[in-house]
Amino acid sequence: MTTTKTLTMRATFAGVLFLTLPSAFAAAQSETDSKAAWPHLNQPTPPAPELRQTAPTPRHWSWDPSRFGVALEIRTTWLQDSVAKRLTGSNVSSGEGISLQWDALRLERIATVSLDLGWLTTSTSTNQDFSGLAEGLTSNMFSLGLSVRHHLLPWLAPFARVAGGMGWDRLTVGTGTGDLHDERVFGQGSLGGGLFLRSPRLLLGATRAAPEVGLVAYVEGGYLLGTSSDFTLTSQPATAASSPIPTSPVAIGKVGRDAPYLRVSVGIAF
Amino acid sequence: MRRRVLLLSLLLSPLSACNDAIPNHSTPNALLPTVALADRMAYVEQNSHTAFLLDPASKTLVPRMVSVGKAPVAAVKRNGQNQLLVLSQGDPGSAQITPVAAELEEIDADASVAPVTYTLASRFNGLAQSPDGRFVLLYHGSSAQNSGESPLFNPNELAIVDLTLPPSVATQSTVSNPYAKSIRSLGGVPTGVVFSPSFTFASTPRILAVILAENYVTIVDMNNPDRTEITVPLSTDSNSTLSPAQVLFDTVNPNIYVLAYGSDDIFQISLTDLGAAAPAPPSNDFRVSLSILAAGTSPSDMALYSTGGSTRLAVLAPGSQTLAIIDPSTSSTTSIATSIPANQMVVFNTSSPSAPDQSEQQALLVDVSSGSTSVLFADLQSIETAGNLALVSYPLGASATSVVPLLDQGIVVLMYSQYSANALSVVDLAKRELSPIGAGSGLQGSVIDSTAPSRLWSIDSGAQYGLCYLNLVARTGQASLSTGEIWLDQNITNIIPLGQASSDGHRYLAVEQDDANKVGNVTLVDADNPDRTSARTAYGFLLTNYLERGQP
Repeated sequence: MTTTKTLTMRATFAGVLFLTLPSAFAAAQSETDSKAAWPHLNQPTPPAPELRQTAPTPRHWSWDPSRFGVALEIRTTWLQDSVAKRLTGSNVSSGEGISLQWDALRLERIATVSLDLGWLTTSTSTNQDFSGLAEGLTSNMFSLGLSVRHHLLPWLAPFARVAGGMGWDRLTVGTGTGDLHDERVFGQGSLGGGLFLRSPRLLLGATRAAPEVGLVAYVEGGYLLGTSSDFTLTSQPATAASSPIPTSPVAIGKVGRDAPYLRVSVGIAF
Repeated sequence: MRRRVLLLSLLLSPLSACNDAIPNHSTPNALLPTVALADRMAYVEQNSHTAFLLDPASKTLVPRMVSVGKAPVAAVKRNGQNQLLVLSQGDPGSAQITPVAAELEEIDADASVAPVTYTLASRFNGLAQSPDGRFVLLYHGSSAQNSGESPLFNPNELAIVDLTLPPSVATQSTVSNPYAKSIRSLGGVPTGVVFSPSFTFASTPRILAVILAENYVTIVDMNNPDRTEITVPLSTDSNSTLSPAQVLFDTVNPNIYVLAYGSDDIFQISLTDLGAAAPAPPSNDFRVSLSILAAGTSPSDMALYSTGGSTRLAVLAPGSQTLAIIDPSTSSTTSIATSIPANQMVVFNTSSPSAPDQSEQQALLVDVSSGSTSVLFADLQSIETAGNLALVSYPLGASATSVVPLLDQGIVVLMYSQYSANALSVVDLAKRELSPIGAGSGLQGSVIDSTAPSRLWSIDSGAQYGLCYLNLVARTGQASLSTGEIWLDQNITNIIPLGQASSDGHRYLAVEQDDANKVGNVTLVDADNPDRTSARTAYGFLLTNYLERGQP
C-alpha cells in the first residue's frame, strides 16, 4: 500500500512539474525562436530590424523538435479483476518502467508519428490474513507503441497511442524454502490518449555541435487489454535422486489484467 | 555520446532499487491434525474454514473442498462410516460482525452426498462419538473452559446429536436434533466421555454415555436424551480427588465399572431394568446402584472376561503388585501377587503352550512405567485356583513404554524407549514368543498399520528421507518380522496409513513431509507394496483454486 501511494505521489509531482515548466519556458522564450521552429504556427509579423542589428547573443535554447527521447514512467492501473485486486491488496496497482521514443515521421503542420519501446515492471505483495500466506506477483512487460500527436503549441500536443507487447508474470506463494511459484507469459495491448509536454531544448555547450537536450513528459490515460495468467504451482524438492518422485501441479487460479490505466512519463529528448 | 550514456544511467538508477521480496508478517496458516478417513485423507484449514478431502486414487490429486463452520476446533472420522465430522465454534460477533453459530458438519467422502450441518446452541470444543458412529456428544472440554470466547457459558452444557437423523426442531412427540442438555454438576466439569455398547432396557436397545468428571460420573441415555441424567458420586470425602480414568461395560450382567485414579477401589454401577415398573419420562426406565470393589493399591488397568459362564473383572494394582480377580456377582476377590508392578493388561483368548488344542482366557501383564524388564502371562482360566502358579514370567530386552495389541492377528507389540538394540518386541500370543527387534538409529514417528497383515512404519532417523517398515506378521512373499525401506525425496514428519483400498484398488500410506507454509505436502505410497517408483507427491494441494475461491 505504501509503495502504491509513493508512486502515485511521484507521478503527480512529475505531472505538475511538467505542466508548469514548459509554460514558464515559453513565456521566457523569444517569439522569434518559436515561430522559426513551428512555421505552421507563425503569423506574418516581420522581425524588428533593430533586433537583427543587436545580435549576436548566443542562443541557449530553442523549440526545435527532438528526434529521440528516453523517459521513466509510472503507470497506475485501476484493477478490475478480483484476483488481481487480492494479490495487490488494493484496487490500484502501480508499476515503473522506462521507455525509448523515436519520432519516426514528422508531417509538418499536421502531426508527428512516434514509435516507442518500453519496459514496465510491477511488483506487488500481500499477506493474506485468512491463509497466513505471503503472496507476491511480479510482472515484466515489454511493449511497442505507436503514437500520433498534433502540436497545438510548441510545448503542448495531444496524442493518441496504441501499444502491444508481451510480458511474463511470476507468482510466489509462501515464504522461505517451502514457497511455491510459477511463471506465465502473457500478451497485452493498450489504447490510450493524452497530452505531450515538452520544454525547449537546452544547448549543453558553447558551440553548435554541442548536444541539445529537452525535457519531455507524457500524461496518458487508456485501457489495457491482456491475456490472463493461469497459474499452476509446481514444486520440485531438492533431491539428488536421478528420478524424483513426481509432484502433482496445483491449479491456483487465474489473474486477469484488463484495466484502465494512467501513465505518466518524464524524460529527456535529444 | 558519453554524456548520453551517463544520462541514461542516471535515469535507470532508481529502477535498480525495486525490491520484490515478500514481507511476511501474518500469522501462519493453521491446520487441524490430519484425519484418515477409510480411503482418503481430510485436512481442515482453520483460517479459511475449509475441509480438503484428498483421494489418493485421483490422478490429478486435486482435493475436494468443502466449506465448514467458522473457527473449526476438532475434526475426526465418524466411527463406522467414511465420513468426516468437523466441530466449529462459530463467531460470537461484535458490533460490526454478525455472530455466526457453532456447527457440527458431517461430510461424506462421496461427493454426491451433500454435507449435513447441525447448528449448535453453544460453542463446544469437545467431541465424543459412540462406537457405532450414531451419536455425537459435544461438551466443553476442561482444558479450555471459556471456549469460543463466549462471555457466559455453562461448562456442564452438552449437545447430543443423532447423526442418523437430520437436523430438526422439537415437536410434541420428538426432541430436537441436536438436543441441548445441561447436566447436574457436583462441582466438576466434563473431562471425558465414554460410550457403552448397546444395553437393553424395556426391550429397547440403549446406548449410554458416561461423562467423566472429578469425583463423579454422569450417565446419559443417548436414545432418550430428554430423560434425566443420572449422577453417580464416587466419593463423599470432600478432601479426596478421584479422577475417573477407565470405564468398562458388561452388557450381559448390566454393569458399569469405573476405575479412578486416587482410589484403591473399583466402582461398580449396576443397572437394573425397571421394565413395566418404570416411571414416566423424564425419569429413566432403569435404575443404578453403586458398589465398591476392593482391588489392591492404586489400580491402573482392568479388563472383563468370562470364564465358565460367569464374568470376572481382572484388575491390576501396581501399588501392591497384585492382580485382583473379582467376581462382580458376589464381590469376592482373589488377589494374586505379581513379580512386577504390572500396570497394563491385554486379555486374549487363544491356545496356550500348555493346552495347544483349546482356547483359553489369558492375559499379558506389562509394566510400562516402572522400568520392569519382564512381562507376565496369566492363565485366567485357572488363576483363581492356581494363584501365582498361573503366572509365567518372560524376559524383555528393555523396559516397555507402550503396548499395542493386535488381537485379530494374534500379536502384541511392546514398544521400548527408542533403544537402538531393542526398539520393540513382537509377542506371539499363542506361542508366547517375544521377538526383539532392533533399530540401528532409533525409531521416530512409529505408526502401526492395524490393517491385517499389519506393518509397523517408522521414519529412519539415521538416514535422510528413509521410510522403513517391519512386517509384524507374514504376508504373501514376505516372512513375518522381515523389514524393508524405501526412500523418499523430502524430510518425513508424519505417517498415516489408510484403512481401506481406494477406488484404484490400492491401499495407501500418506507420508507427510516438511511443510513450513502449511500448504499440504504429502507423498502417497502403496501401503501393501511400498515402492518409490509408484509413489506420487501432492505439494501445495491446499492451494487449489486458492486465488479464485475468495476470502472467507
